[in-house]
Amino acid sequence: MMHHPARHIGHHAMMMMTHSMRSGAGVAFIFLTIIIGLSLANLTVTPVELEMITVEELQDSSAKFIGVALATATLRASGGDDNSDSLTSRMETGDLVDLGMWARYLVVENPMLLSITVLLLGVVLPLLLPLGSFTVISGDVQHRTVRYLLPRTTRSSILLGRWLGSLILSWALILFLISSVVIYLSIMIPSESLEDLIPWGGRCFLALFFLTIPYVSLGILCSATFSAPMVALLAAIGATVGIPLLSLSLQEAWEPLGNLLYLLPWGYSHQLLSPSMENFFEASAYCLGHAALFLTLALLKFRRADL
Amino acid sequence: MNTKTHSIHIEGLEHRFGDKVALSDINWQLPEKGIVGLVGPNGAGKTTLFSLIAGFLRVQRGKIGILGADSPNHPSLVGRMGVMPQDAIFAKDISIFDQLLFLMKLDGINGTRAENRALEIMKRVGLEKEIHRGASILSHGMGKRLGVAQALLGSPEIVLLDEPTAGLDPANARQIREFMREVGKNALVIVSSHNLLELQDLIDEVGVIVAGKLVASGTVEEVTQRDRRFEVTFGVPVTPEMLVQVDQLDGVQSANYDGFQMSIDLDASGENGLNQALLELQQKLVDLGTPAYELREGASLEQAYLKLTSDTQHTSEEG
Repeated sequence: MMHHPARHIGHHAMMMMTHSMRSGAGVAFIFLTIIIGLSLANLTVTPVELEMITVEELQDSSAKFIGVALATATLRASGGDDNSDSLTSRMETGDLVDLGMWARYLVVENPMLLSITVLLLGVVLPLLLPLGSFTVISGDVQHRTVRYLLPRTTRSSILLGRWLGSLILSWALILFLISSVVIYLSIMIPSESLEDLIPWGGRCFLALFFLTIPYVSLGILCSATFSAPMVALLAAIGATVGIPLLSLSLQEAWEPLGNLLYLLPWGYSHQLLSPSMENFFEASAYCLGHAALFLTLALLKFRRADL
Repeated sequence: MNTKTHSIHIEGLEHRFGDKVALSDINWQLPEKGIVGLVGPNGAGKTTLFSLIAGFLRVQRGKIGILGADSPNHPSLVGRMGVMPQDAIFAKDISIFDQLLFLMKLDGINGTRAENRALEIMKRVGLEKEIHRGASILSHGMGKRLGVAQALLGSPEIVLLDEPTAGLDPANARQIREFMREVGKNALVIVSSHNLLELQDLIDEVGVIVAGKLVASGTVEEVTQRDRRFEVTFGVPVTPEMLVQVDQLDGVQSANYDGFQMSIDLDASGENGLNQALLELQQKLVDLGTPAYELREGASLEQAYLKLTSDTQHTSEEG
């Protein structure tokens, strides 16, 4: 009997997605991602929808807030201790004018409410994605269900198939969230036109598409490393939250330690929404590099593991 | 490595869990077809050996050649082995039917052919009514039967069954044994069991593993040749005098009695082997005027097993 790795990977991916619709952890992931994603969108849209704030006022305050956040992320490595007022003035006329333009690109040149929703998703998704992948390997290893598969397929096919299944499921959820927000905004907010929303929605989807790959791969790595699913989940979320916190606190003691942030995409992920396509491609390449690293480690671990 | 006449060739196999030696210096060649029993006390290393052959555990030291491949995890073995692990459980939130179809999809069987095969195999193990339900509703025995069914779904050349009849009622156990016999005609079936009487009637070859070492292997005749136990039933109660007369025969190693029955261990290693010993015994019984109403082979394998395990334990205690 001929073994067809690509076909097996496809079978495992399909089974993984089907299983997610029926298993407790899978349903929880789908439900939480949709609920939290839509809640973030609601949080952004409601003040404008209820006319608690005008579009212009929100644009102004968001541009300042996003600008300061971008400046903090960009200047972090150089250890800038500027306050938000000085950063704002530097973005308007000084050396940080590029960042000011970047903020305006997100909230003035493109549909603001969609940009804000996607920026919030960019922060929350890394914490949600492990929910979709922590049991992918560890669950079957813990219950030894994987032993029914091993005589029929290779370990690499199982891991790659389930990784692909997790990715496709995550992308489908993100596509659903962005489509929902685009449709809702086009109906409820007259200033947001569908002609502007659709191309920007596509760009936002691409940004989250690439952001998803390393975090799903990290979840798979934790799932392949720890046979207890809860330990795998804690490890994935712990690393996602712990690395930026550790990096920021250690940076105070010794500045180069701030580069620990680059162990995960936190250090460059904001570039996925950069007005410069060069920066976007660079950040996408980093995402793929991170994913390749995590996936290779997961494969090495899983192929050598006693199951 | 010679793998032409053997489907499995194990050489110098050693496996440890931390400091504990689970298997030590296992050398074993297994035939291409037939049923091979793997017996041994609890914790002797049977499941570890199964797991190594099945590729669940990584080989630490030694070699396992399977069907010409030099490793149990070689891609060329995909779909050529069927394994019923002892303690694995089916996913509880997917129907048994869907899981079987998925396993067959991996084996390259799809569509109506896969559906028919799933129904057929579930009928063979008496679970056709449960096929569209979840695995969580299965009892322990049903789970065992499902485990056997999935191992035999495709057309495996090697089938590993770890205690397949443990916990089954006699009718289901018999059904599984018949299934194994059928599969054993075209494939190698390795089966571990504590039920030695069951194995004795089923297997062609046996391996006895004690404290991580393969202490005996070969055909059942080879392993039990020095101790062939026979149960003799008489029409009258056995007397001590009869026992003494029988015990004095050259081919008799030991004899015991209980009511109308006598258990006799024959030494089959003599010049004409078992036939000569049996002939002498029957002649003596006729001479004593107490012919055997029934003479059948008893738990020879069990006898050999107990002797082998006892010898090994004594050796290790002395060592």
